[in-house]
Amino acid sequence: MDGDMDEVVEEKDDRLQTLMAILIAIVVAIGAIVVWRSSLAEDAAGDADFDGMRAVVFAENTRALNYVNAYEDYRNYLRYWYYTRLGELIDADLATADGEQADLLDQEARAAYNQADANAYFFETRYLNRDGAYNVQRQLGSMWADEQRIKDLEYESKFAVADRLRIKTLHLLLALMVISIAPVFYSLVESVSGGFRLVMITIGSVFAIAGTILAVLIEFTR
Amino acid sequence: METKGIGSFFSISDDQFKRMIAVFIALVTVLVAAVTYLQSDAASRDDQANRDSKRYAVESFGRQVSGTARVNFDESVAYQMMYEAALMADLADQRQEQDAARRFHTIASEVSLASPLLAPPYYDPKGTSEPDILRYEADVYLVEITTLEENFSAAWEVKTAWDYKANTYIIYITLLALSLFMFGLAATLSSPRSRWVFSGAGVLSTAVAVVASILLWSKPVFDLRQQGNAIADYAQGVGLAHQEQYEAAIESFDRALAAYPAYTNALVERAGANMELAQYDQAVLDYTAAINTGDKRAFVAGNLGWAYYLMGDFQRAIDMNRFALAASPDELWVQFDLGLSMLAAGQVEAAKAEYNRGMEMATRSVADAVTAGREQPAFLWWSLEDAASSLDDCLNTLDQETGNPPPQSIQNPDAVRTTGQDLLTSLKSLTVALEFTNKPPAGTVSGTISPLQISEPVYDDQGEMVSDAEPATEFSFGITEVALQFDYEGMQNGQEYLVKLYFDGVEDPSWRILGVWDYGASGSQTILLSYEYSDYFTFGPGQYQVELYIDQHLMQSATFSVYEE
Repeated sequence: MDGDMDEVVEEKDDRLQTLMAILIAIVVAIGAIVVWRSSLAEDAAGDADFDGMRAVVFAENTRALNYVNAYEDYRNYLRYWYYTRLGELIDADLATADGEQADLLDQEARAAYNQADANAYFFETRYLNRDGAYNVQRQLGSMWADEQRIKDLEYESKFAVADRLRIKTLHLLLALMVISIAPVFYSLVESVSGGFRLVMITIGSVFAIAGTILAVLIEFTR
Repeated sequence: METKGIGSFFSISDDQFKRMIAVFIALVTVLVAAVTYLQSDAASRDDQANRDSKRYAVESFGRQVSGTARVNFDESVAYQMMYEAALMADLADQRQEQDAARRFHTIASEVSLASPLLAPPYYDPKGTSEPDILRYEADVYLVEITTLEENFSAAWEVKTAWDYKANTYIIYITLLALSLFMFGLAATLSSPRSRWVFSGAGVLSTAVAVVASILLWSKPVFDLRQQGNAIADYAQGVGLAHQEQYEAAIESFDRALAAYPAYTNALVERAGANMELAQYDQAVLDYTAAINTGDKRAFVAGNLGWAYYLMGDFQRAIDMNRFALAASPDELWVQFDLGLSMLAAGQVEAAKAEYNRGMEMATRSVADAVTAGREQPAFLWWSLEDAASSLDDCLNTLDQETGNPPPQSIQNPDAVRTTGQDLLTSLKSLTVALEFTNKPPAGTVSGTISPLQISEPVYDDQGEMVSDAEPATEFSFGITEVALQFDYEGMQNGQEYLVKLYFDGVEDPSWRILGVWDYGASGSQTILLSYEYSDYFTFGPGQYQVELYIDQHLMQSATFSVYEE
C-alpha cells in the first residue's frame, strides 16, 4: 500500500517537474523574444539618431552656404542698386540742367549706369520684387527648398523617433523583468508541498502572462 | 539551539540544496534583468546626450557662419554704402554742390532700407552715432550660439555621467553573472564544504552587485539644461557684456547663478564684467569661486592674477600667474603679467628675468613657426602689445600718481621707472623686429635721435614749411597735419626707419611709414603725418602716440592729443 502511494507521489512529482520544465522553457523563450525585439528597437533608435545627425549636418551646411551665397548676391545687387539710383537721380537733375552742366551730368549719369551694369550679372534677378527691391529672404527660402529636394534637412522628427524607440526598448526590458520573476516561483514549487505548489505555479504564471501581455502591447502600440 | 539550527541548515539534503540553488539562480536572473534594465536606461540616456551634444555643436557652427555672413553684409556692405553716400553728401555740401549733396543724401537715406542694422533699435537715422553693431551681433547670433555652446557642454557632461553609469552597471551585471556561475557550480559539486563555499561566494557577489547598483542608481546625474533658466540668462549676459552693458550683464549672470550657484562660466563672465567696471574685489571673488568649482583654465587664473595686480596685491598676483603658467606654460601674456607683478612688487631683477623669459618664448615661437613654414598666431602679437601696454600703464600710473594699481602700493618706484622704461623699449623693439625679420633686434644702432617734437606745420606764402613752428602736445580738433621734428647724429644711410602711430592705444597701420634712411649722418629732419590728401578727414579727438624705429630699435616716441573745443 505504501509502495503504491510512493509510486503515485513519485509519478505526480515527475509530471510536476516536467510541467515546471516546460513552463520555464516557455518563459525563457518568451524572454528571448522580448530581448530580441528590445534589441531591434535599440538598433532602430541608433539608426534614427544617425539619420537625424546626418540631417543636422546637411541642414547647417545648407544654412551656412546659403547665407554666404545669398548675402554675396545681395551685396552685388546693392552695388547695382547704388549706381542705378545715382544714375536716376542725376537723370532727374539733367532734365533741368543746360549747357556745360548738362554735359557734365550726362557723363556722370552714364558712368553710374555703366558701373551699375558691371554689377548686374552678379546676382539672381529672379529674387527682385516687383518694386525692384531685392528679396534676400525669398532667395534663402528658395535655396533651402532646392536643397531639401535632394537632401533630408529635417531632423527633429528623426530624433523624436529615436527617443520613442529608446522608450520602447526600456519598456520591453521592463516587461522582460516581469517575465523573469516567473521562474522564481516556478523553482519554488519544488520547495513547497500541497496547495502551495498550485499557488506558486499560479503566481509564476501571472507574472509570465502579465509580462507577455505587456511586451505584446508595447510591441504593437505606437 | 541556535548552533543546532545553523548546523541543521548546513546539513540539508542534496535535493533541498539543489532546490535552494534553483531559487537563488531564479532570483539572480531577476536581478540581472533589473540591472540590465538600469544599464540599458543609462546607455540610452548616454546615447541621447551624445547625440544632443553633437547636434548643438553642429547647429552652433552653422548659426555662427550664417550669422557672421549676415552681419558682415549689414556692416561692411549696407552700412559702408550708407556711410560712403553720407560722406559724399557732406563733401558736396562743403563744396556747395547742393544738387550732388541732395542726390547722395537720398541714396544714404534709401540704402538704410537694405538692412535692419540701419533702422531702430540699432541705428537712429536722425542721430549722428554709428549703428550699434555689437547689439546687432548679439541679437543676430551671439546669444543663440552661446546658448547652443552651453547646451553642448551641458549635454557632454550628461553624456559622460551616463556613460560612466552604463559602463559601471556592466561590471555589476558581470558580477551577477559570476554569481550565477557560482550557484551553478555549487549545484554540481558533491563535497558539502565546497558547494557551501561556492554558494556563499555567489550570495556575497550578488549582495555586492545589488548594493553597488542601488548606490549607483541613487546617484543623480547633473544636467545644467535643467537648472531653470541658467543657460538662457547666462547667454543673455554674454550678449549684454558684448554690448558693453556690464551692469545689465551682471544682473543676467546673477540670475544664472541664482539658478545654479556653481555655474563656472557665469562666474567667469561676471568676473570679466566686474573687471570692466573696475570692481576688482568682486572680480576676485568670482574668479576665485570659479577656480573653486574646478575651473583649471589658465586664463581664469591669469585674469585673477591681473585683478590682484590692479588691486596692488602683487604677491597674490605673482602666485596666481605662477599657478596659471603651471597649467599652461606657453601663455605669453601671463608670463609678462608675472614679470609686471614682480616689477611692481619691487623685485626688479626677478622681473627682468621673467620679461626676458617671455621675450625668449616669443622669439622661439616665431622661429618655430618659420621653421615649420606656418604663420605666427595673432595671439603672439596681441601678447607682446598687451605686455607693452600694461607696462606703459604702470609707468603712467606712477607718473600721474593715480590709477591702478594704486601708486603707493608700487614698491621701489624709481627702479620701476628706470627698469620699466628699458623693458618697454625692449618689448616694442622685439615686436617690430619679429614682425619684420622674424628675429630679435640685432646689435645696437649707430647714431642717436633727439626727442621728437610735434607741431602743426606752418607754411609761408610760397607753400614752403617754415621751421619755427611751435612744438605742442595738444591740438584742437580740425588739425589735418602734424610734423615730427628731430635732430640726429651718427646715422648711416641705408638704415631702415619706421614710424608708427597709435590712436587711443591702438596702432593705426595705415599711418605706417617705412623707408630707407638717406638723410646723412647728422642733421635735422621733419616727417609729416598728413591728411592733406583729403578735404574731409582730419585727426579725430583722442590720444596719439608716435614711435620712431631705426633698424627695428625703438629710438624715440612722443605723444599728443587732439581735443574738441
